[in-house]
Amino acid sequence: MSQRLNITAARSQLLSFPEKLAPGEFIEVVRHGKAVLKILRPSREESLEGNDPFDLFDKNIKTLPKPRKAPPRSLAARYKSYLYGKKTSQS
Amino acid sequence: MGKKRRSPDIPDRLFCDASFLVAYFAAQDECHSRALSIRQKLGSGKVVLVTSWPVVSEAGTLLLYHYGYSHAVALLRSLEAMTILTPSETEYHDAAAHFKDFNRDQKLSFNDLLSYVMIRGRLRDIPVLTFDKDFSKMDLTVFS
Repeated sequence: MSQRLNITAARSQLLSFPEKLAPGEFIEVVRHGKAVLKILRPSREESLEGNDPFDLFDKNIKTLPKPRKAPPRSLAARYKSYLYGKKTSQS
Repeated sequence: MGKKRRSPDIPDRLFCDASFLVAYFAAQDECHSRALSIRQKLGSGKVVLVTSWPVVSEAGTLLLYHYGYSHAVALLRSLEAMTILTPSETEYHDAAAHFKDFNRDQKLSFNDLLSYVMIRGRLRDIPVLTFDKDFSKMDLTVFS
């Protein structure tokens, strides 16, 4: 959803614009009712330019040493029991 | 004209949870092959991966402690592939409020509830990549 903000509001919210704007959306900054600045987040297609984010993941995974032969571990699915311990009943 | 269209079932943006990142970066993990299958299902080039700094902190530390320094660094070298959000103070307070509400009869981590607040709020309910069953308990859409 695109928005119109006056200069005072825009100044106070400036740092949050990148997170507020979805791809392709914009914020129009107005002074005395006239638009003086338009801040546009590129559409997803423009910002990605065809890059697959997983390509960088895979590139960095390829640098890892080969895992030793061992049974698979269940860390991803059960990491909270490692971090916080077993869930107990409500006290 | 001429642009490839994605399947309507494939979302444009996905939130990566720590469990997905750990599984993807650790070939030794039993969820690794499932993580690779999800990547295959997503196709190439058109999905935006979103996460948060608390999730990166959790995943990086887990990889370091359980799979070693190289795995943690592989994740950190891949951060630019994702949009990484910094929770706002308001979102931390919202997570604290949800922590009190949800955990009367459940046990959900503060970090998960912080993700919940961001996904429900500024991310407008994007699906989550996770192998953690707690995300289903929060009624978020899990992409699998």
